[in-house]
Amino acid sequence: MRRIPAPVALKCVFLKDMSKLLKISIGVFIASFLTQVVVSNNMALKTQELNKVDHEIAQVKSQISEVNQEIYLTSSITGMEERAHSMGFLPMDKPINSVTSPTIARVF
Amino acid sequence: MSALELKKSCDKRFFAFKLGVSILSLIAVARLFSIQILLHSNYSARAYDQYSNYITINAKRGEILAVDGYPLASNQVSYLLYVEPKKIKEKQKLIESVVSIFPSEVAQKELQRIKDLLDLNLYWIALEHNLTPPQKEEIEKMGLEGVGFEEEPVRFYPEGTMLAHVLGYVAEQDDGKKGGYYGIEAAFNGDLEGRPGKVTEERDALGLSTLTGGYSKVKPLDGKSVELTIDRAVQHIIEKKLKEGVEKYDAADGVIIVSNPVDGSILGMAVFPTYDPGNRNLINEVVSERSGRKLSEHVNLAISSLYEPGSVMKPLTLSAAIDLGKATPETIYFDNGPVNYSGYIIDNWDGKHLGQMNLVLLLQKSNNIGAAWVGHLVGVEALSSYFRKFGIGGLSGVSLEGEETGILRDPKEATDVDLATMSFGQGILASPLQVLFAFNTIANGGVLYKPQIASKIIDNHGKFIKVEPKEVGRVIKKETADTMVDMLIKAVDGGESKYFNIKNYKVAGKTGTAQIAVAGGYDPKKTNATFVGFLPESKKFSMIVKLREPQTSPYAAETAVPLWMETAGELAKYYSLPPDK
Repeated sequence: MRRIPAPVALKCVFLKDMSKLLKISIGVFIASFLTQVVVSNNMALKTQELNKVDHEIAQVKSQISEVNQEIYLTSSITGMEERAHSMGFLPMDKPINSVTSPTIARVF
Repeated sequence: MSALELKKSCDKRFFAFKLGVSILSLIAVARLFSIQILLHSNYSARAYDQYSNYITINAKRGEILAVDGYPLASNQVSYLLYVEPKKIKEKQKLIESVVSIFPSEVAQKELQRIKDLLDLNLYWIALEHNLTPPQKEEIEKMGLEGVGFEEEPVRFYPEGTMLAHVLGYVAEQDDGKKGGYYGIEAAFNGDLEGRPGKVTEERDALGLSTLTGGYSKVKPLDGKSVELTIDRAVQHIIEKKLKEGVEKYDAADGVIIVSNPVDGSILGMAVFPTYDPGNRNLINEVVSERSGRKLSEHVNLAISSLYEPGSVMKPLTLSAAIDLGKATPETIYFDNGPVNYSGYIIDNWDGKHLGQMNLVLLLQKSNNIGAAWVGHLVGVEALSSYFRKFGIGGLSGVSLEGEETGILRDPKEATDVDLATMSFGQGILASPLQVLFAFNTIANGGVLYKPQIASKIIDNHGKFIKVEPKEVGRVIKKETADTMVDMLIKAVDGGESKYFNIKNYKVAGKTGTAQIAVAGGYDPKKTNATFVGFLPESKKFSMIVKLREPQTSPYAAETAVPLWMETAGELAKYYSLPPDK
């Protein structure tokens, strides 16, 4: 059996490996590029969604504030008095729930 | 050239080239070392500045609550409209669109203002503050370029002008931050304002936040809320009555304070003319027209307007005499005409002299000569000391911004006429609140309490610190206080105020009509009319009514008294107090 001299054998293996490495590198590069495109796209969409959610939160907060404001105005004593007047209520002319001093008879 | 020479020449050039490359490499390495190692922090900070973005999150200002938990001062969301002129494509369209949200009466003025602002060669202009959410939405729908909004919380006072002088207001301070002015807003500013938060995030070239970048958030610490002892219903009643009273008696201004004499809590504090703390500029003009003079309408007259209280001080003089055992209600003195003190004549307000009188009659007739006599019986040192213990001549310590210190003459410098005038409430200065709390001492069995207006400080988690009533100390003996209550009831029943007394309820109180000092003496036509008193059976409330310069009559008995009695009647109805007379 003819033996290949060692340096020649090493060279062949090296060249073969280099070609393999190049193919792998190109493969990895393409894969990473595609992954980056997909991830970036995904991130961009998520960022948009996040901004949208932020906007919605701001809107809800603003609406809560508006509702609170309306509640406060509706339950303001001045407003209530005006509404009571318009509904025909009259001002109190004497105390209600007055407890008169008990007589001796009542005590016993 | 031989081959050897050529080789040498090549070697030299190659050596020079290698040297050059080495030097350049060294320079590059040195520069990189400088940038990456020595100046690392500097460049890193510059880079961070470029791609990071800071957003300040405003802390929510705490609310001011009434005793029933209803917010008297709250916050509403409003927006700042800003423009970036460099991004604007259609300037005229933008101006017209923005102006369209304003009412027609201010539109023209706004048009010019916005035009002027846009003519400035700036990158960023704050165009309009305090836009409401609907106004913001309206502008957003127009799809204008170069326009943006920033949220800015605005103070909101749901009850409008109610309690304005106690609440104070919020406005921009010198450093551009918003802060409280006057009243509770100023006194509790540290608790109310909170601490702003901050968001730091990285942004891409388009200015959008990136998810992969760094993000940190320091949450804002919202301000604490302050619950007051103020009862909205009481406040509403007294404000309504005060407005009616000031207009009916044509007074320059007026004050009503209602407190709980037992623990010193303030239930209501009304000042008229008033203003709207949420819209100060608009109301200022109205107030000025009403009073006919320039008046700092933000000043709380209940604590900041010192005046000579007049005859309402007589009960304090009598308390001192009785407490020292130098007089009793039956002590007799003689009023046989005006009395001369160091060349100054002291006379009664009505010029009448009834001869033999006792101290009950002194209060009923509001006799100046008798009060001066009792004052001399007590002595200047002792009387000053009692007045100070009653809270006259100092600060009451109420938690409101702007309280003025009362003025009491130094007893060492006081002459006999000073003592005489001091005994019936002239020559000394006190605020309506100080006078009311001196009376509370009598109502409360001789113990003075500090005026209390805040009852709780509540944090964001609902935890609260309760502010307990604070006893200042005993001023007079309980027996003296009880005696004084009886005398004050008789003073009301048989005094100048008897024609206006409320039916069904006993009232202990005293009138005070004091002429107002002008250059060189007192103006007989200008008076401060005061009535201070309480319902002795229930002790549910004590109240002072003070009117400045009433025009229909200069006397308290014909102005402050009827107003006090009407208001007390309303309060008795509100508290459903059983009749006691």
